[in-house]
Amino acid sequence: MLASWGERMTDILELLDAKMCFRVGRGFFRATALTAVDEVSVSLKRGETLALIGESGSGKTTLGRLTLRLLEPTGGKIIFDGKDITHISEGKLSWFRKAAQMIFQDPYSSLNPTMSVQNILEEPLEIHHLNERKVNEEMIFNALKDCRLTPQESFLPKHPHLLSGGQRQRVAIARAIILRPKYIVADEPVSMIDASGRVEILDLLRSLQVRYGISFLYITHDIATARYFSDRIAVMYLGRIVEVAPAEELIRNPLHPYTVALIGAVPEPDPSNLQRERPSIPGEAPVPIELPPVCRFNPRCSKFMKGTCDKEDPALEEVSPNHFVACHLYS
Amino acid sequence: MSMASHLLEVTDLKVEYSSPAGPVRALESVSLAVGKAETIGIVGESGSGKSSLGLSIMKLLPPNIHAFSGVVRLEGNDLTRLSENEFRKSVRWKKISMVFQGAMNSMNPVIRVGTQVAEPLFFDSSLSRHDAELAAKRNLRAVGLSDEVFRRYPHELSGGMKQRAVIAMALVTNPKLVLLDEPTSALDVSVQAQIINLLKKLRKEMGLSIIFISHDLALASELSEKIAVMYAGQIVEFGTNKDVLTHPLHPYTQLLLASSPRLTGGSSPGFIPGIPPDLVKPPSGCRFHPRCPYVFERCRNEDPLEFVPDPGHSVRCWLHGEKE
Repeated sequence: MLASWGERMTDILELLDAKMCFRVGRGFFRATALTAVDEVSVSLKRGETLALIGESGSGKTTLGRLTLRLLEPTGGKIIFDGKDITHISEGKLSWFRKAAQMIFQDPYSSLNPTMSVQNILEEPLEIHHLNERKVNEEMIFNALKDCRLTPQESFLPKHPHLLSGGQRQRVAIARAIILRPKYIVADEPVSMIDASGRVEILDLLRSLQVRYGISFLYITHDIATARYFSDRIAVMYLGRIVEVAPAEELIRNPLHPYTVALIGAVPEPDPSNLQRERPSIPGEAPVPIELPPVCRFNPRCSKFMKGTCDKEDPALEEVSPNHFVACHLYS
Repeated sequence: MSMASHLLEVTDLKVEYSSPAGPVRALESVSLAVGKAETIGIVGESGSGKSSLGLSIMKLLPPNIHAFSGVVRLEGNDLTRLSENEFRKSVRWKKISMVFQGAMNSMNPVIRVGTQVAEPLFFDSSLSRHDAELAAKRNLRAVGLSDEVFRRYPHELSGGMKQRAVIAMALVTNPKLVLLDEPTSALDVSVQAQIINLLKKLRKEMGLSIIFISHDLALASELSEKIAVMYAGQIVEFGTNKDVLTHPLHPYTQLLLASSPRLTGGSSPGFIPGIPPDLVKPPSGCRFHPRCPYVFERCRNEDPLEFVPDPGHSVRCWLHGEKE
């Protein structure tokens, strides 16, 4: 599993000013565009986990889908494994489809209820024309073992409705790793799992990462699991990354007022909660249609500076080693 | 516990649903008391029976009931003896109301928000439609929504606004007790914090009793003076917020608290191995015994009794029972 030195040096994934606009309505002279992801540049190292956190509507899922080329960006570039895949046609992407996989949020709807576990795991092999029966059987057995679904014989004939939520999610993970991908987008993989089983799933993903050198983009709204599972955390707000830093650094020393507020709003099990108000961010994020070129967080920001925040759009800048923030307070 | 001091008393509640595989033992020996202006948190994972408990109190259990026994008293009157008609006329939404899980997404899309908020009052013959609408406007203001929202349709509101509207709907009849079933689980943390702060404010202003149902202990601790932890259809631990969070007695509560990743502290979280039991054939003895790290012989054979090691803090676990 050792990658060559040259391979190690390059990032598995690189986004350069990636932009995704959706047309949401059509006026008489022009169409209205919703900019879900706005000129985002970010890279992912081999074997690294980058968490993408943000609230609903921040563009984190759209960004994840862009990196899988499930969407074709309206601007910018996507480089995967050193190759530009921004506008490659679907027919020429089959190598990429094998190398990049996805784990979805809801294991109750991401598995076909009419297929047995065996069928579910065979499907990716068939799609990629791996038709050697012996080899396939072994791959399925290994994938189940990797995902701690043993004894494998008892799981193979089962249909999803006979499995618990955690077991279903492990089947979905087995499906994602069976082709030995280099990169997996995990979109809220534990938010539908009961609290007592979340860490088990995250530990499983980490062990697969170590064994097979997989890079993860971990999309979540839960900062606590992001701290536990990822190397770096990127915070998104209205289509932009507003802060990126190593996980522990971001939690202990958040710089962007949005990150600070987001961390402050997470409840901890503490009896003194009863006596105090939870810090909250006023208002809700607007829909990103035709936003003016100023800081997007300024209407909700507690550190708002008139004449700066409502005049200029802050760029993402490195303020300490590996800690990037897009905020006028630090520029 | 004296009868007079409690608004609601649930005693020895048992609910079984019928299913093709056999009766599902959803609730067993559940007893709970809610005082006036008190908030009780019911915490448990999926399938623990927390929603069944809420629906039992609201008399809204689905029709496939195989067995039901126990007593639910509101101000001393046994609600289980009331017919559906009597219950609907005098209790449901008059004295007890509920915000259902996912309620904000089940608002009627073609009826204006204000009309939906006022709707519970239309069944009160002593109020004119105009008065009902005035009350709805007053309630929308109380939950932080402007009068303009009254004429809007649900799709024009954000998630947080819709959640505020369904809370206004539950409170419009001035109930004594409101059941909140996962009222913030579909919301972002920053909006969740706004709703929790709102509930804290309303509870004080209205002298409201609340049953707060959640899968999240941390979230329940924000609002609840007392917490009941449920596992596999039973309340396994009950105590004050402080007792349960800082001095948990049941191994399940201890493991649940230790299993959530946190933003503070360095220790890595653990997880509870295994899965919750099938309630058609729950394990013999203690229902948690197959997953419990401290299991011993008695746990496998005998259903644990409820012990009260500290005043007001009870636990259903043999570890805290009298030694044999």
